Amino acid sequence: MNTRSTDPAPRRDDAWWRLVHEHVDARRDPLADPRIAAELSADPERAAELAALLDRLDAVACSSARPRRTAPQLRRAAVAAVALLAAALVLTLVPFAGPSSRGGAAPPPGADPAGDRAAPPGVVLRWQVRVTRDAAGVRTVRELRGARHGDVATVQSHTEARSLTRTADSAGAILAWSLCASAGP
Amino acid sequence: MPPQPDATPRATDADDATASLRAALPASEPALRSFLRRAGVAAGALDDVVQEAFARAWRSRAGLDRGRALEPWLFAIGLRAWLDLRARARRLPASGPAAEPAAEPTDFARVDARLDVEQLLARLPRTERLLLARFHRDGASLETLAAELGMPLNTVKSHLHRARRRLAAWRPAR
Repeated sequence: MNTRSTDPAPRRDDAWWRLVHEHVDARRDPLADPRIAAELSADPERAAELAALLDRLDAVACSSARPRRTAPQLRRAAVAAVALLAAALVLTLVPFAGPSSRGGAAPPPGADPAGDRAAPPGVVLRWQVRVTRDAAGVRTVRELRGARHGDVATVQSHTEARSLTRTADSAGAILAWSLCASAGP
Repeated sequence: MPPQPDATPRATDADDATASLRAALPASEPALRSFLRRAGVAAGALDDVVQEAFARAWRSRAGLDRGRALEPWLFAIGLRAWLDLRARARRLPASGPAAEPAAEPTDFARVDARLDVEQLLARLPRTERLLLARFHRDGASLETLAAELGMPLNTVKSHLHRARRRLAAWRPAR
């Protein structure tokens, strides 16, 4: 348990606050409840507390999904940045090496259609998801992929990565995505 | 014995509710202003919030139940109007020409809305912080959180409620 908090846990837990929490738990507006409104006008201090709570919850709701980074996370971010550069290089060079760059010739019969788009040997392509504040979309993506904020889903081929990206984009939950490459599995 | 007149304006009849409200709203303005000030609305924002509250009250006058006291209804509308203005300002892009005149009184919300959420969350115990973010930011359901953390549903609720009370009671250092 984190012990950084210096604020004592508020002790008041009366029926009015329980009612407020019930509404918030159910994602309803507590202010729409006449029982809550009646108490507000009689106790402006509560009104101030409730307003502060609802305002801060909204701030949390639209906050960035990016968690606070610790030192290991920063190292991982640095690794991801290097991998991103490598991926950019790979993705830039792959079209020049493929059949389309040699006159658009069709692949030979029987060839794996995804073969020329697969990651080069020794390189792992990754689909990196950075989830946005769009809660509904976030939920959708997580349900689809079992991914959580900041997770990096590893895929085996460029084709699969593109497919996942399209799915994620259609869920409207991705602000930024990228294909990353890193050396070795 | 005739009924005693009530000092609090009430909507008495659906038919004359409109006329009643038309008279009652202006009379309620001082009380609404006083309430909003005590609830934390900055002086520079008060005019905007009061105007928005009256506009909303007028639009939703059909929702004022007969016999229900006007002021609590109006105060709740006023508080919601204020929170919505702040929420709207919070979602505006932080950059661009619209964000420049931040010192103008009408731009109050954008300034106040720059709440340091990370600072706020960092003050919470880890479990509370996690639950708060997952529920309010990610939209995860209580049941999902209970399953993820291996906690009973009521324990999840207790943590969340405690976290919210800490948020409500937190006083930023100005």
